[in-house]
This record gives sequence, structure tokens and C-alpha cells, in this order.
Amino acid sequence: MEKTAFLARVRHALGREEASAMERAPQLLEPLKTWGQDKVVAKFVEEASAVGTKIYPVMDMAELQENISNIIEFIKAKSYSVSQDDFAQEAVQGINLPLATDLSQADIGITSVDYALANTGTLVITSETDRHVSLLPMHHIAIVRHSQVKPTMAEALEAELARPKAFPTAWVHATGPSRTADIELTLSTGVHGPGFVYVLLLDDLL
Amino acid sequence: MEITSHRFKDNAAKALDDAILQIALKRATKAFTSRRKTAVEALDNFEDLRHYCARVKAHTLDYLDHYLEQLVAQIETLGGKVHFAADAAEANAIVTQLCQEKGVKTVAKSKSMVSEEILLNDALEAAGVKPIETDLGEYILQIDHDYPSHIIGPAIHKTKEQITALFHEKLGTPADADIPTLTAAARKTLRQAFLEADMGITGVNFAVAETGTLVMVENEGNIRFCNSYPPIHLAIMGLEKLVPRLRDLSAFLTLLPRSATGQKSSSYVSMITGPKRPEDLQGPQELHVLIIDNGRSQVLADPRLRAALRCIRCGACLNSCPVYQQVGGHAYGWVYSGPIGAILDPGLLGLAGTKHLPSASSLCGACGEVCPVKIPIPELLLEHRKRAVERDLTPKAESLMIGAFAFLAKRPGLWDMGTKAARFGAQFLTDDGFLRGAYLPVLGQWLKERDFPAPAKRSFKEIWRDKLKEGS
Amino acid sequence: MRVALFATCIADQIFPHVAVSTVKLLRHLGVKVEFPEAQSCCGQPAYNAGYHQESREIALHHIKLFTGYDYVILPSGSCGAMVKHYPDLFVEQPENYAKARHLAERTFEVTTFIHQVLGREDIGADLEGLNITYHDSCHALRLMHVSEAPRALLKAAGANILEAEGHDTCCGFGGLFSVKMAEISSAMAKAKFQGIKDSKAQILSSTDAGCLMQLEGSLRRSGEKIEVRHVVDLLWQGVEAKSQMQEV
Repeated sequence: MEKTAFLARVRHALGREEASAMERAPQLLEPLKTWGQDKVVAKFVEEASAVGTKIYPVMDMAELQENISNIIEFIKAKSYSVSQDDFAQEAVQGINLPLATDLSQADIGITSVDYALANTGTLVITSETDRHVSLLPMHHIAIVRHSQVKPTMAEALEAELARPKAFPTAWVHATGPSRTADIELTLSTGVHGPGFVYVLLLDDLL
Repeated sequence: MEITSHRFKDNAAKALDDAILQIALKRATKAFTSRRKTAVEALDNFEDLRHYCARVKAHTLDYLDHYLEQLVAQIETLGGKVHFAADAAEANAIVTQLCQEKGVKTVAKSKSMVSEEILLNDALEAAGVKPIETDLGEYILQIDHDYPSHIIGPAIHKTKEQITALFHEKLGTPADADIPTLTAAARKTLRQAFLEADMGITGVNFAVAETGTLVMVENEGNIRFCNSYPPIHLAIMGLEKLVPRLRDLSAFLTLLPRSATGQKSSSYVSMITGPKRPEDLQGPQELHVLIIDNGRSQVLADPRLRAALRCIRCGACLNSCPVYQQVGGHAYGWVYSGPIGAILDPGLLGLAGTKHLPSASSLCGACGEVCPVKIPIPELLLEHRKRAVERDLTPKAESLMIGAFAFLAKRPGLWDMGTKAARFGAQFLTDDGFLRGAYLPVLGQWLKERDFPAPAKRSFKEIWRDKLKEGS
Repeated sequence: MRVALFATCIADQIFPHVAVSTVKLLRHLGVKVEFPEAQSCCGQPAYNAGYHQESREIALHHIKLFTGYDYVILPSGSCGAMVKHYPDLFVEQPENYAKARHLAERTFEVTTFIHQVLGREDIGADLEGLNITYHDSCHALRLMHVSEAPRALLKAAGANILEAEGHDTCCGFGGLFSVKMAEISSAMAKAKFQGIKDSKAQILSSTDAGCLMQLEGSLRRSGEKIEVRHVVDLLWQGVEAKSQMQEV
């Protein structure tokens, strides 16, 4: 069906033959939250842990790199993949592990994030950072800076919309590991995406 | 899947006799309802959010022409291609033609109720395209040639024992495999499908008019694969899925997972705004969006029923419905089951073939209480029943009986005589204070399943006149 | 204060003792009760089956009969909910709409009337030590907001309220639904048994005779032994017990 015909059909269903004056959409409900950053970060840690994300607080880049190495050793990873942004690239400097030539073969994916959401323990990863490294490998290491954690989605959206650029192609929320409950509502993790999610939480607000 | 809504009673009787289904249903609906309750009670502003989401959806539907135009313009500006289908046949023709044009041989598909509604997989297979369902529940159903019985948990009518046996047969997993083993087997098989698919097909939970953003909510990660890995992403949506603004999403994304599975957030939400841009490193080259009417504009045109299009497919009304808890989704005979199906299916398919569905309710009101967008489901059930009467779709015996009842109810003298006669007659059917009479109409239906107390020898009215009236 | 009893047809014909207890209980609390004798049924069976013209006629009869009372009291949530629906039947008849609304606003389920309007909780009843589980009938709970009152009155009389799992889940009665879809209706009743048994109550009570008829009929057919009583019957029994005690 042509676009004009389809739209005319909808308009007709609404009892109109042409566009009518619009009422304004209902006013937005929630005022934005103005929590202190300590509270925001503490809430993020609480909620992310509750959905099975493992949190490792780190103070600087050296400690961050050390933690990545520890995780790699612990899970006996044979290859890794990493998102292309400078921050993640710096974080994997000195890792003693081959970079996977084929992402689908990587044991571990290391990425930055764009935001994190405290009230649900969520990572926000946009297409500016990554779409696949955080999805294909069984293990996902996300590097989150304290300054990136927002109370809820509403505040993260506001921050993004305030940037002088187009909204990203993909804006993905990732909350804990990939999970399914399709068999008798019994939880099972790692069904398609990562079964294990680690957050290296870097305090950049000192 | 053949539509069998007109055989609701037979379907339901079969479901009640299916012991395995009964176990699976009880386990699933009990878990769903208790998790939802906990998640909703943890919110301090649930009622405010419901009220807001209901208003936003109602507003969007009232100006759907405007918002659709805005959405389409945004997607086109971003380089996406929007297709429009009046009905299932046209929708399937558009998809199969697109596949042929682009040389698509296999499709990785995520769960989409509207694709079930139009029987997309059958159309794809007929056109030589292989659709692979990648949601675990849908995958189970696909390899078992079954179809979903619940919006959120498509395979909840199956027990784990049944699924273990199925995977043993089809995927070679051990005969006593546990759920993690089954999940791992599905991961391995379906991973290959994602890597090889020429096209990913997804549904859409919300479409944001102001930005052209398509929102998809899931737990497994298969939707992320479908919308980002294959070179072409086709998103299929009913025409009612819109919300005006990006900023509306935070309220809807708070209510949807809590109402559906009792999660504060689903594992993944994808918000997709156009196809891959030159500066993006990953993502599909092409984005196609198929917007489907298939009966929805008839519902939209009906001011009373329009509210049914607010539905965000959380499934809470199914889980909370004591009828659904007994008979499950397949009894309703179509894609949308439970209370929402009972009000939506007559709107989409017409009342004549679906007239039993609005009657399949005790009007207990549990559905209306849990609906996150406040669809007045019980009132719309009553509306359909009223229309069934107006269109003469009810049994003759019923309308005669109700007519006689109403005739007497407004004539006190006759009412008293009639009820007295009935009580007199009932004496001869009374046994130990309860009635016999399985051969009688109406009463017989009751007695098939339950005992019925014998009417009193003397009515209250008689007792009042004799003993209770002041001065008597 | 002019108070009328709407006995409801089900109490009138099948459970007259429920209406008797209602009158006695209200009189015990100092309320003068009248009973308009031309009453029949609220019309719910017709309305819920979709027969609006028929239910409109019954509603008019009912509205006319109960005009002039300050309160209309009934031992049921469901029939009360029907009266609350009356205005919907007259959206195109402003005069009758206003009358219907007026009646709807003055119609009360009996325990709620005692608790909210009379402001009584201790009604001078003794049900000390009785273990009761209360079934929330759907229309009472969701359309008449009856939940606290029956429990509060029973508790104040010394009864223990043992909440059953699924106490607010439908029993499957649903009026004509119980015969139009008898198998489903009956399965819904049976789904409540386990919760009722697990509550360890001796008595199952509710404010709707329809639900009690459904539950008692199902329990009896299944050979389950649990006493089923209307809440008003229990309360009146408690009042009598207390007054006998005082006489002794």
C-alpha cells in the first residue's frame, strides 16, 4: 500500500479527512532526579550486583588493567576482542592475550560504555562505542566511569539529547547477563549474549 | 495456525483434560503473577506511571495519523525504507518480495506477535526462504511445529520434560539434560544462524514518532543479533505501536518489564534510530520497517474499542486471569489470548467468529487491575457481549430466557408467583438440602460439576411479612 | 435516616436467613430497616450477558422502588456493583441517569455500611476463637471496595482471620458464566481449594451468596468438609452468642 493511502486510511478511521489541530502530548511525568553522585554510584553497584553483574571498583588505569588480566586468567580466556574507542584501547594495553581475528571466536569482549543507569544496574552502550563486542563473546568486561552513572534512563537521555549531535543509531541497555526463562520460567543465563558480565568501575571523580 | 476461536468451548474442554498442560500452566502463571506483584509493589509511583502511560497511549491513538506521518518521515530521513501493508497477504507479499530482491536465503527472526498474526513463516517458506526463530521459546515451538500460547512466554504450555525429550530428538542432547544444557545447545545451534543469516527480522515494542526510533525489549540477546548482525534489518510493527517522544520511554520501560516478568529492567533494550551511518563501525546496511494494519484501523475507528490498541503486550492480564490460568492460550484459538485477546480478537477478526471469547470471563476484574496502560478490559468484554446481543449472535434459548426473566423482574406480583412455583417444584428434586435434576436445562449445566442448594421453603419476602415487618 | 434493605433475589429465594440476619443485625445497631416488597432482582444476569434493553427496564423498576431512601443496604457486593453500573445504562437519558447515580451513591454492602457509615467495628458480637478464612468476592473487592470492613467486624468479634492463598482470586461463579462455561467455572472453584485448606480455617466466609453457593457446591461435590457461611450470618450468630452470655 502507498504511504499516502495508508495514512489516509488511518486518518479516516479517526473520523478526519485531513490533519486536525493537535492537542499537546501529556506533560512528562517525572522530574529528573538530582541525587548526589555517591548515592547514584552506590545504587548502581547494588542494582547491578542484584542482576548478577560482578563489580570491581578500581582507582586508576593501572588497577583497571590489573583487574582485566585477573579476569582473563580466571576464566582461562584464549583470545579477546575490544571496542574501538580510545579509552578501551588504553585499558587493554599490556594484556598478555592475543586479539581475536574473528570476533565470533573471542572468549571475552572488553568495551567502554556511554552511560550507566543506577536504578536498574544497566549499562548503556551506543553505536558510537560498540554493537557486537559486548554481545558475541560469553564474557563481557565493561569499563564504567563514576561520571557516566546516571540515576535513571531519563537523566541519561537528557544528557545525550543535550549533546550537539544526532541521537546515536543504536542505544542499547544491557542489564546483567543474557537470560531466558522460556523453559518453565526457570532462569538460565548466557542463552545468546554474554553469560557473564563484569564491570570495572573507575572512580574518575576524585 | 488455523484460527479456532469459534471452537473456544471445545478447545477449553480439551485443555482442562490435558493433565500435563495443567501442570505447566499452573507453574507458569503462578510464577508470573507473584513476580509481577513483588516488582510492582516495589515501585512507589506505580499508579502515577500507569496513569501517565495510559494517557500517552490514548493521546497517541487519538492523533495516530499525525504521529505515523512524523515517524515515517523520520525513518525515511535517516535512510530507512518504510513499507505499508493493509492486511496479512500484503504484508507477506512485501516481505517475500524484499527477500527475493535482496537475494535473502535465510532469515534470523526474533519473537514478533504480529508476524505470528500474519503467518509470516509459512509465507517465507513457501517463497523458498528459511526463517529461523531465535527466541528460545519460539525456537522450541518451531522445531516442534507448535505455536505460541502466551505473549511473553510462548512455550509456557510445555513442561521441561517435554522440551528435554524434544531437544534429545532434534538436537541430540542427552535424554536427561538439564535446562542449562538445553540452553547451551540452543546457543550453539542458533549462533550459527545469526552468523549466516542474510536478514534479521524483529518486532517492535515502541516506535518513537519524534526521532524514528524503534524500541525492542528482550532478555536473551537474540534481538540484538537480529537488529545488528545481518546486513539487512526488517522491523515489523502494528500501526498502533507509537509513542510521541523519546522522553516517554522511561515510563514505559519501567512498567513493561515489571508487568511482564517482574524484572526491574529486561536484560536488553535496543533503541534503533535508522540504518548504519557512515561513521558507525557496525550495524546493518539497510533498515526496512513494515507497518501493518490488518484490522487495526477498524478498532481505531471504534471509539469504545480504541483503548484496546493501547496494549503494550506485557501479558499481565493473561497471567492474572483465572480463566486463562485454567485453559491456557491455545483455547482462545488465535495469537492474542486471555483477556486482551478476548477484547482485541473480536475487533480484529470480527465478532461473529469470536463471540465466545468475551463470554469466557467471570468479569472478575483482575485483568483491569493489572493492566499497565489501564485498558478497561472488563468494560470492553461487556461491550462485546452487548454487541453480540444487538447483532443477534446469541443463542435463541438464551434471549428467550433473559426476556422472560426481565418480564417477570419488573412485575412484582408475577415474579412472586413465578418464584413461589419454582420453589414448590424444587421440593420434589431436593435431596438432603441440595437439588437433583441433571437433565434440566441451565440447572443441569451447573449440576454436571457442582451441587446446588435447594431453594428455601419460604422466601425472605414471606418471612418478612410474617415475622419481621414492624408491627407484625 | 431511612434505610431500605435490598435482599437480592438469591438471598430471597435460596438463603433467606442471610437477609434475616441482615435485618436483625441492623436493628441491633439501632437502624430502622424498611423492605420495599415489590423488589425482585438487580438485573445483573441480563446486563452481564449483554441484554442492555432488558436490564434497563429492570433497573428502572429498581430505581423507582428505592427512591426516597437515604441508604439502600444489601448483603452482597455483586448486586451492589450492578447498581453501580445503572448510570451506564442511561447515558442517553439525563433524567434517569441522575436518578441512577443518586441510587448508586447510596447503595452499600452491609458490612461496609456498618463499618464506614455507622462507624462501628465492635458490634457486640462474640465469635471468640473461630478460625475464619474470608473469600473476597470480585465485585465486592474491585467494584465496591469491600475488603477491610468484613474482616474488621469479624476480628473485633474475636474471630481469627486466616488469609488463604488466592483469597482475592475469582471463585468462578460469574453469574450465567457458571452455566455457560460450566467446566471452566468449576475448575476455577477447585483451583481455590488448596489455599482454603492450607489456611486451616474451619469456616469459609464471604459477603456474596453467589460465590458461597459456587464454593460450597464445589466443595460438597468433591467431598470436602469445610463449613461455608455468609459473613452476616456469622456476625448475627456472634451477637446472639454474646447476648445469651450476658443473660447467663
